[in-house]
Amino acid sequence: MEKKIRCPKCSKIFTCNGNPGEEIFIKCSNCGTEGKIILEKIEPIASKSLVVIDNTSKKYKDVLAVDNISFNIKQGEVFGYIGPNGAGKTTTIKMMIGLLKQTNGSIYINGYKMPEQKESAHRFIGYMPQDVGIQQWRTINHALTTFGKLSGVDSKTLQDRINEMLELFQLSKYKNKKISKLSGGTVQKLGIIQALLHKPKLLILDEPLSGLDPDSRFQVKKIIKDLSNNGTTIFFSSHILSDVQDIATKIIIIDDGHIVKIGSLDELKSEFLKEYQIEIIFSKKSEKFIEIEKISGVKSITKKSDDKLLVKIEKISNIDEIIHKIIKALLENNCKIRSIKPLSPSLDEVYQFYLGKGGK
Amino acid sequence: MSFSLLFLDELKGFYKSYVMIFLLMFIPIIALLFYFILPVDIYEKMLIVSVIVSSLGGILSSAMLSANIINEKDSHTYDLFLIRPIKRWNIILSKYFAVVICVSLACMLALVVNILAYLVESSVLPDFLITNIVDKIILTFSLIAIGSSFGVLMGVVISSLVGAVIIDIFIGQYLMYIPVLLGQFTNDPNLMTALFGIVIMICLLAIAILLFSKREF
Repeated sequence: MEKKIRCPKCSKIFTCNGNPGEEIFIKCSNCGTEGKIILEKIEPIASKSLVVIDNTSKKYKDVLAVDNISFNIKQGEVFGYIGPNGAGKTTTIKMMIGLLKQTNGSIYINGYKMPEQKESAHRFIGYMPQDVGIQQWRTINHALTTFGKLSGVDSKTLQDRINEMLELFQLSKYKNKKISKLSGGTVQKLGIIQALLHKPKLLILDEPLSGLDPDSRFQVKKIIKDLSNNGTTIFFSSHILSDVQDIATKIIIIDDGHIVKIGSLDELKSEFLKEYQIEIIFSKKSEKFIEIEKISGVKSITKKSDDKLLVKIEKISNIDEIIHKIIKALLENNCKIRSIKPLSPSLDEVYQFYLGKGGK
Repeated sequence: MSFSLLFLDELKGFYKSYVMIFLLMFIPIIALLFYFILPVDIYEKMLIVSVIVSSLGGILSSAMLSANIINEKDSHTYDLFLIRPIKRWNIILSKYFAVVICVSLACMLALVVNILAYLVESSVLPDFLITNIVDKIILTFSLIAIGSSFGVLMGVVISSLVGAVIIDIFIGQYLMYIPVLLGQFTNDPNLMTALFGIVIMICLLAIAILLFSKREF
């Protein structure tokens, strides 16, 4: 297989060849930087992947909005797509649904090549754009009836489906209201409903939670989780990292058109973590915790306050065993423990790490 | 199925809009105003009024379509249609025919109001008025059809609403009269005006559909 590589030093793109899974030695032809990469295994389209994006780029005149990205999405996965403004999230999504044609590379949705076979692929896709533009003179019911019919929903079942969706999103009372009279959050929810009418296999949502109040966000997140549990594949972009953390089974971080990292949250965190951290809170002031520094694998202890202690443990260590030893040592020294918990970095910290420090 | 659905939707959208209410009142009132202030006989009056009504209809439909398409492009309305399994020409043609029908209705109403005004004034309907009404209808439809197709093209091509409306008014109105002028050099001006009108309309719409189909959203 052939793989395009961007030199981390001079940004020159060059091509290298090898077998999938093989570790190959590379040298930049421009600046001479050397390194090793493992060529990823791209699974065949027909097997499991509902979405295959392979070495895809999009250029607008002189601006390279998306640069040589590749990823696969398997049936039932929930992909969170995160990155700063202008990173290329919406461009990627629009290429996936066939509204934009990629400059290079290939995109397959359910085996259909995009954008050439978009009309066939659209039967499987539900899409909610970042700006939900629905003609203002329509009522909710009228808009959903039109979208449902255009998506091929049977006329006999369409009205039931609309009622079911409106009830799920608690919008039944607005059914006959004009779009022009609705709040931004309600239009946002309507955007999700229109994407779900035909029960799509793949749901693509561009910033689905950005305009919603906390209640609605909770409600929509629950609906997305339920859809995922029922086998719907979901790809969504978001700026709200806590929401991505709540819903996504896999996360893609994109910056400046390049994919910086792909993986589950645990995978992203484990690469980010240089050490484990646990926080111990005592119910009574104690100074006898010094004993735990002697336990093998404990890197350091930091007293955060009179009753709070931060223990850093080497990443290679067996964390469960060391925590057990710490508890034992503390109890032997008559320390009164109120709580003990491992500290986990938030997605915000992981995101900042990959964007700011060496993630690229 | 997609075309009929979108066409009926667009028709509903236009006939319920304030623009349509305005047109249904504005064009007949303008026609009536000219009917009373023109110091010429009834034959010339009807000719001048029908030309004014047709031009107004053509320019207004052109501007309406351009503005509508540009607004819908700006508000990403098409995204929700284009991600469904429908052909893009359905969107353009449904909008086009809905506007042509709505504006034509307003123009027909203006012509009928003029005839009624004459009837009220003189109590008789001259024969030439009945025979010439076909000419006026052909003229009106021809101008509206060309104006609207030009409006669609400008809406698809141009991003600035003001720019598109200015071009509609200053270029569109000359374009609308091309079939009328060409028709005058033939033996059957009515038929040839209609034919030239159809050819220009089809050409403009074909270009608009082609560009809309190639466009990235």
